[in-house]
Amino acid sequence: MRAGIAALERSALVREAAEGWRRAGVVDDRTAKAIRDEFADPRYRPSWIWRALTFLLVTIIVLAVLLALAVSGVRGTGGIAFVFFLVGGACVVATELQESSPAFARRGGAGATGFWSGLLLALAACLFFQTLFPQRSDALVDLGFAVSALVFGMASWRWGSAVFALVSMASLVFLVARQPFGRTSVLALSLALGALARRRIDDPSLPPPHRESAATILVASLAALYAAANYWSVESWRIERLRAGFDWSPRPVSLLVLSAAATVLLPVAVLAWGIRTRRVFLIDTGTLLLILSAATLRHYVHLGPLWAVLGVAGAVLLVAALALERWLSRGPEKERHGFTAEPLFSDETKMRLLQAIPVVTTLSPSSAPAPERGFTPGGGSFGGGGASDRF
Amino acid sequence: MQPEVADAVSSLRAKGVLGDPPASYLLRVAQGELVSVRLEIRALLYLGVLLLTTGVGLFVKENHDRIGPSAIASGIGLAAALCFLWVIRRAAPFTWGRAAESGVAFDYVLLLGLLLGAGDLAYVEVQFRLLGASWPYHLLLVAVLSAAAAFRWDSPVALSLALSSFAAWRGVSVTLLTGRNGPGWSGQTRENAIVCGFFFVLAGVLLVRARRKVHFEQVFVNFGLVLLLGGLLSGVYGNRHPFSWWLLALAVVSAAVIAVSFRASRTLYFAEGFVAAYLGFLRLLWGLFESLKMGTAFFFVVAASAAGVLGLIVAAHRRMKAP
Repeated sequence: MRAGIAALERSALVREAAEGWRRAGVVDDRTAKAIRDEFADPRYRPSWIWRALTFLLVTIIVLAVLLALAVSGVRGTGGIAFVFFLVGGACVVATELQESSPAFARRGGAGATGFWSGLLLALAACLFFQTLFPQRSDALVDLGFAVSALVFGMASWRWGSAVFALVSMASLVFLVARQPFGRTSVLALSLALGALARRRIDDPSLPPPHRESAATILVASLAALYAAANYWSVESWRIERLRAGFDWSPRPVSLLVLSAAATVLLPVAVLAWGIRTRRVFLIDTGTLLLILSAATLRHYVHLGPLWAVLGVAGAVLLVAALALERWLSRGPEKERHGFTAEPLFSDETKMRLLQAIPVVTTLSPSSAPAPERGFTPGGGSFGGGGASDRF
Repeated sequence: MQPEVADAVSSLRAKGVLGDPPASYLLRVAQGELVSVRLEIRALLYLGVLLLTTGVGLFVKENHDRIGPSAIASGIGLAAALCFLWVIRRAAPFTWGRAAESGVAFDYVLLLGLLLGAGDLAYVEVQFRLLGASWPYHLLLVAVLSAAAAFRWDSPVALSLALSSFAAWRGVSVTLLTGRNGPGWSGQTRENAIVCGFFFVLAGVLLVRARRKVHFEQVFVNFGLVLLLGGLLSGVYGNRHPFSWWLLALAVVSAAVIAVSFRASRTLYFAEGFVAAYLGFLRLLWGLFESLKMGTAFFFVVAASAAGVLGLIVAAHRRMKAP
């Protein structure tokens, strides 16, 4: 990332924080303006809707140009690879141009061209490889993952995107998992990258997007570590199956015992780490891993009928959430140990509207059949998460 | 932790731009000494409601022969009543404006009560056939009760449940879990979606005009536009001929949505209208080029049109008084 852009990213972070303070009424409009003047950022960043629209349209342009060139008489895999390389390279140039323009840097277009540049260049490398070594199809997937890890890693470093860092990390994990001793390698890689990322998430010498990428890599490392250590993954050889020529054999009992212990302890450790360091993204990761461990337990141990497990789990979550909110809200100044249930500087009005989206998409009733079709028992009732509508 | 923000707070305090308070409070947040877990509590509540209602649904399915309909109906009804009791005790007084916040859990306990109540109603209807052949009317009843709860307790979540129940009564489902939008988006379902969408948009506009629950307008209009434009688009793509009345209707409606939202500086409605119009245009383009067998030209025209639309959007955004 260029030094000038890194400085602008630092200013942008302060400006965004000041906007949150103003919205929450902590500072008035005049103070917020004074802060904006102090921390100048000439780049214009529209709301997410405009950025999403721009991302969508730039994606359509890139894909349409790609398809136009691909169907314009290009022959053979080598020709297609050249088209991918050409369009991918053009996307790199387009991203660089947008990043250096204050008017276009944060409109969403640079993100779209950056993403497609990584994907198309990785695909181009695979296709070139297939043209040069048609007999080595087994190495094709590995090459794709390797190039994807490299290209998206460079893109993340250059343009400062946590999404690119995530894609790079995922590609690297899959690449390593497909090699001999894949599981051990994934464990080692996730531990090494996690340790490296942990030291960088608060490093003030890094610009904010790079710190965000470091946090993303830390979360991805923890997820990879859990995937390699989880009992179900070990018992059913999930990682080894990614490799061609996998041969099943029973696991040693000691390994199964170790993985069972890791399935229980790892989420708890991550959750405790998050609580101790007051890092919400670690708390979220620990909670998600805990849910996965509960699902793993249910997979192997029959705790009771499914309805009872779901009902009890739901009730426990509800009670836990209510108790947590109550406990935090009754603390001195509505906080305890540095945690609060208050919104701080987030936009609560928007949040209350946004929370309707998951409700509508998952808990809405099934449709009744068209009225004139007469009575058909079994439709139009309620229940979330796949609850049956037939009694 | 945000080192830049922490440094900025210290520097702004030294320059007298920020007083103290709030500088020390802001510094604590920037240094990660105070963090909010509100979003996490919300996520736990949502997941709890999702699991609990799913568990209740499965319980009823698997045990209704053993336990008996009266006991099941009473049990679920009692649970729903307990939720409503909790809500009533916590609720702020009624207002036609935005009600004071009653805690982060309020909306979810209300939602749980409504879902349990709705499930109970559906169960009673299936068991005792109170409505006979008109059984889908229980969805209308749920929609009305949820809407009443939404207005009384100022809950956008309850309102969205009311609107989706109303749409379900008309045969249109919006849930993603079932993977269907009613019986194949065809014929009557499509028309129902369009009519429902139109009335939802109208209801949103009327609320604003009447200055009653103005903040519900976004729920009504967004829900309505998704149904209205989605129904028209399904007509456009369901028609074999590129030129159809559906396309004309889509063009007129999306043009109206774009124009009105542009004047009112409503970004999301503008985007919804624009996307629908562009998807309709792509269908027309595909129809024109399909017979000409000119793949390369088609894709270049698509790219050029997308570039043109992008230019229009950038220009519109500059003239629109919206962030």
